[in-house]
Amino acid sequence: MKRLPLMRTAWRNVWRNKRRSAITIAALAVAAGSTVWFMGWGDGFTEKMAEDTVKSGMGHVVVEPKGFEKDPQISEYIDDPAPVVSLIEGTDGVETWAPRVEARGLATTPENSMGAVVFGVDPARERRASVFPNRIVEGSFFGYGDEEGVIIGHKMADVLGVELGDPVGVMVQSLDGEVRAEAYELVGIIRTGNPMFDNGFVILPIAAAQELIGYGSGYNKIAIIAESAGDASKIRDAINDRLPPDDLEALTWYEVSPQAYQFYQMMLVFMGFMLILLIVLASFGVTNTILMSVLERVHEFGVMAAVGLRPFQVFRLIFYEASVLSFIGVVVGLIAGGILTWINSIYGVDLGFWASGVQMTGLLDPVIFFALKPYAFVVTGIAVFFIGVVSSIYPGIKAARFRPVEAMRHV
Amino acid sequence: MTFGDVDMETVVKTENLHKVYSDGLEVEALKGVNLDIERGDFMTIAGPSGSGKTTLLNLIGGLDVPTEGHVFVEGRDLSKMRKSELADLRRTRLGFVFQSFNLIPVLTALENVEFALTLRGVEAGERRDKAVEILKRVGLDEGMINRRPTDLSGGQQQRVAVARAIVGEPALVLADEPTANLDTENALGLLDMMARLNEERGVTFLFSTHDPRVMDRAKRRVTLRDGTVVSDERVSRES
Repeated sequence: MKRLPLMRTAWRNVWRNKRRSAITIAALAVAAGSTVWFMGWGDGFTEKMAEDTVKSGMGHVVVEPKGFEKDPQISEYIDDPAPVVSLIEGTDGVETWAPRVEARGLATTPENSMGAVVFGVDPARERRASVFPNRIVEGSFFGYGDEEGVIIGHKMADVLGVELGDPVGVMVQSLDGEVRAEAYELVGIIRTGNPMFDNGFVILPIAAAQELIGYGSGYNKIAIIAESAGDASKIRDAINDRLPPDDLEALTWYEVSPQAYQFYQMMLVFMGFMLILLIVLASFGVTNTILMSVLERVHEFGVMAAVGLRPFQVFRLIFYEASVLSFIGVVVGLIAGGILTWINSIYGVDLGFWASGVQMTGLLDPVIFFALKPYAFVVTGIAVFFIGVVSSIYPGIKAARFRPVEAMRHV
Repeated sequence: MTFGDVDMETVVKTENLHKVYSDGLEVEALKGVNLDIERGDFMTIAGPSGSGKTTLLNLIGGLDVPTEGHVFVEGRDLSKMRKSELADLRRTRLGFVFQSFNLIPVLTALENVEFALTLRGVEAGERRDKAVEILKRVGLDEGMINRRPTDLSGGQQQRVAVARAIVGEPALVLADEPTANLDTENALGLLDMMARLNEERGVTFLFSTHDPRVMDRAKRRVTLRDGTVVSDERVSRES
């Protein structure tokens, strides 16, 4: 049998009831557009989360005493870092590295005190390894070779009531079990946007932290920045192969920061759920409007059957109508969603109102710049078009099953 | 030559045809109709409203299924055919003209006629030529053929419906009250045209009607009453 003019008939049928078709197209466009927008947000969010987690001092890979992440003990540290540093520097894909000394302690003033993570950094190396040097809002970051001074978050400064030049006491448990305290001059205040850092970090030059805790020249951790984020697991494996198996281990950022990674996974599940919800809603909308259009034209299908249109051809006609609606809906949705995502990729969305969530994700600031990725358009386009045409199956079967004489009685 | 017990010159044969509608109240529309329609017949089925005329046409056209009995079209038992086979039969061997025209509203007059040819697998060029020719033949001038049904008068729509029914040269045209919505001038013009097709091309016509204008032209008149055939007469005409 020759090709039937079903597509032409379908096209015209679509425009017979412009309002109904517009509603169907709008439902599909909203589904496609919001899916693209949402995927842009999700991709932007997860990329930023990964990037910020890495930039917030963790690095792409970290070398530390085995088990330190699960049970951080002050007694566990890298007492002779030189061979480890040499191993790291000889590993392909490593851009730079930075040492860390970390301990839990207190930040104190004569009037106030609060719990803090004491974070010892190498002033020279830190500039290439984290964003902290760039987030100073008052004062300045440590100079090369500085061994004194302290930097704290702006919220902590508010709580402690200190200003630049004021002394800030830092108290930790030292390696020998004693509690040691030292006062440092406040040389800088940082603002990251993440309450975890702004409210809870005390940054010292690594020499000061080593002396306070009693590590000598030792570190707790060495953070590694990879040339490419995708190389993290390769670098981890290369280093683990050559590290003493019982003492130290290399971990990727997502192994070190399981809560961030879990949040990332949770985000993926949440995004998947939202996408399914959007698509299900769209499919209900499409099924409903196509079914309505079928029920309005029962008589016409009877006529078509009477002149010899086979049931499957009736089904195809409905299917083509849904294809036309879906195609237009998807194109409109992708364009609208793309424009919106593009705007948000330039101007971003401020999640500042959601401070607890931001802290949980490890973001350094709450402004998310959406990612405009071709795959989101392809996946969304295919998914929504597919849902649109699949939604026509039930109405199509219904139309194909009408008995001609009964259908023609229908007014 | 026979086909089963059906003579090859018999286009349609009905055997003990019953149809009961049981939508709430049970109504027996046909009560054992036996009828043979010969090739070249130009016949009417007359009778008052509710006598079963339309039901009989629908059963003969495979648009509905009998409660009991059989319909044979060119020897093929419709009760043994699947939906798609019935659609094929309607497409290739039957043509329908309805009281309310029943054109496809989104297609133009020309496209409505072409649609029937497309279903038959006729090539585009030939399809267009044939459709234009048949539309001219039924009296629709060139200016009208590209109009949609809503832009045509009732008489013009019915001409398009007839053109659609006969363009594929079916063995039988089933016309259900084709003149009911037409004025006398249009009705007579249409009947003349169908009578010519019957004479010149041997197309068999079966009309369900109680319109005397149609019955006057019939070569054979069957009368139904309360679902049974009460008379079946051949009309001899002197030319």
